[in-house]
Amino acid sequence: MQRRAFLQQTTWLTLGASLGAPHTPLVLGHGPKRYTVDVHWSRAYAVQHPVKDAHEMVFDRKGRLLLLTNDTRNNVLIYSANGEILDSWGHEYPGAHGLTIFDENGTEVLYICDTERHQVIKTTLQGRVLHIYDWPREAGLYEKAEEYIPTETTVAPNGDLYVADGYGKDYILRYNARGEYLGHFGGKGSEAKHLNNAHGICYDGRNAAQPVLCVSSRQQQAFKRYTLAGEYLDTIPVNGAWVCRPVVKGDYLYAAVLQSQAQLWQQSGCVVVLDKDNRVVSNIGGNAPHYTNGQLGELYQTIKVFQYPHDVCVDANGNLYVCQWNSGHVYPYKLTPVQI
Amino acid sequence: MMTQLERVFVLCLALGWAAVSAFGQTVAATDTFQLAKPIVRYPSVFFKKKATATALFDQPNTKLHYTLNGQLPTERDPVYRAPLRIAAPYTSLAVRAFGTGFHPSEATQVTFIEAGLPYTVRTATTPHPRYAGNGTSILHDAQDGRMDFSQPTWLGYASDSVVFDIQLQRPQRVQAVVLHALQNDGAWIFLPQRIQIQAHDDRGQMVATANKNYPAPNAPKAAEVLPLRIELPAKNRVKTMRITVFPLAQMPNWHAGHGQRAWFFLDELIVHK
Repeated sequence: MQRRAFLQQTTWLTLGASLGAPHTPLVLGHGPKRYTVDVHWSRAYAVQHPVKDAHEMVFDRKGRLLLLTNDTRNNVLIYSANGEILDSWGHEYPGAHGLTIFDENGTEVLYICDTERHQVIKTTLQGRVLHIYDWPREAGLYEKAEEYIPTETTVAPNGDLYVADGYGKDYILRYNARGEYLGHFGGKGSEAKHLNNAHGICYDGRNAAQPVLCVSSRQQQAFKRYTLAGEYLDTIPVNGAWVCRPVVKGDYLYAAVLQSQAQLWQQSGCVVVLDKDNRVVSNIGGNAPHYTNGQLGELYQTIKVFQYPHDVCVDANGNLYVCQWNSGHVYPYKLTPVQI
Repeated sequence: MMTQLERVFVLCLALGWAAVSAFGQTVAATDTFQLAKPIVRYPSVFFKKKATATALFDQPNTKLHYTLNGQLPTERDPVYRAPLRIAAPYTSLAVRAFGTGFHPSEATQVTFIEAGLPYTVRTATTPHPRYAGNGTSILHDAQDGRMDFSQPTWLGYASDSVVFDIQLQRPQRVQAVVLHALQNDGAWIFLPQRIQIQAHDDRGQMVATANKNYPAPNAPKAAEVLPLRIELPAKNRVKTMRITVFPLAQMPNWHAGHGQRAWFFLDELIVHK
């Protein structure tokens, strides 16, 4: 490694301390994606707006952050940019897990995956139910609703909806904009095209000439890419990292890492950032990513900033918001970019 | 309508709950962070002549300190610089990360155990079909199962007792039996509440018995693989043994599955002379 690169990947905390700088904030991450962290960004109070597991987040076009939790006292919390709670709704989603927003002909709509109801529910931003996608009998893959445990959705620009059955049989179910079942792909198995814990999915249009579907195969510590028709393309290994849903913003792909394979069930999560070539450039809260002969070295947690991060959301200024599963009912943390 | 007393009571409940919730947030999200536990790599914790352990912790401006007696390392203990060679029959390695501006990590602890006497499993309780591993041969294959209990190096049980009848190749003096078991309360896997050992000589006469109890934890524990060592005061030579494991009959009140039977996971059963 070049010395300059090494220095860029070095956490600056101790450097600041050695220079006598008071209260030098901890800088996390590596290379072009380094951040300070604010664990007190949320101004929510637990009595008024409790969270259980804080599962996923999206931004609406007004710049409000919508957080989905499986606490049925308020399944959706709506934050302002400065962390104030603006609104909340939802009492009927005990398994609230996946949250996706889509601009449908000028109107934003939400898709909620409920792992206990075994359904995907389309709603307005105010919570009014527009459509319920029940368990897909028509696919011929399931004998009963309990076998189908959807965790995440994504919507292609043409309105096609893709549902990841990430806690069920790991299929990706495809529907058209009218809600009609079109087909499926993925599923459990030993071939490259198969998935193991298809926890998240996103429409990745970074390459405009060939937009793809990027799916997390979390227990395999990898993303797998498919055409929009469901043909397997390739695998992006993220060694050691249990990657939750991929989130594309600009040239980068972000993902919360639930935990490190080397530190299973020890609250060992991080957040990874991949560049446009799908190489990990930053492991926020963990060791620096290194490639040897094109192979990524194993990623793991080194600083316990996060316990079990479950989703990351990026705002227009490049700030990250990280929410967590089973982590003491914490609200989202905010990470602010640091310029070199 | 609530009475004044009821209002006060409800208010106290709300404030108390708020304090607990706020406390939970504070504890989970302090501004000075703790370092994570270092990674320790090794081929297996079971060895014939010596074991080699390699520690990994790629975080600038931190150091690893270690002990070989199971004690929690401090900054006065040796600094880890290169892979460690371990030859003592029963060695507990503990490695901990320290760094300016961070709380020290918890220790990563691994107990290395010398391989035991060869034996055959005559009969054994059938494990749960989802966790049947590669059969009882895994109990003396010198391969440790690590933390991933879905691997076939583990046997998982959800029954009220688990019995292994084993036979040594020849009558020998036996000092101890070690069961290498998993603790992972998040996955409903607990250490057993009791282990009983009955040892017999080559004429079928009982020559020693031993019992060891393991109290249920009163709070969540870190997930780890633990060697459960039971001394066996046998003066005569042992030919056969019956090892009976009693999984925890009721998970404790703090656990989501309280009152239900816990799982028991085993990946090695060692007999030491």
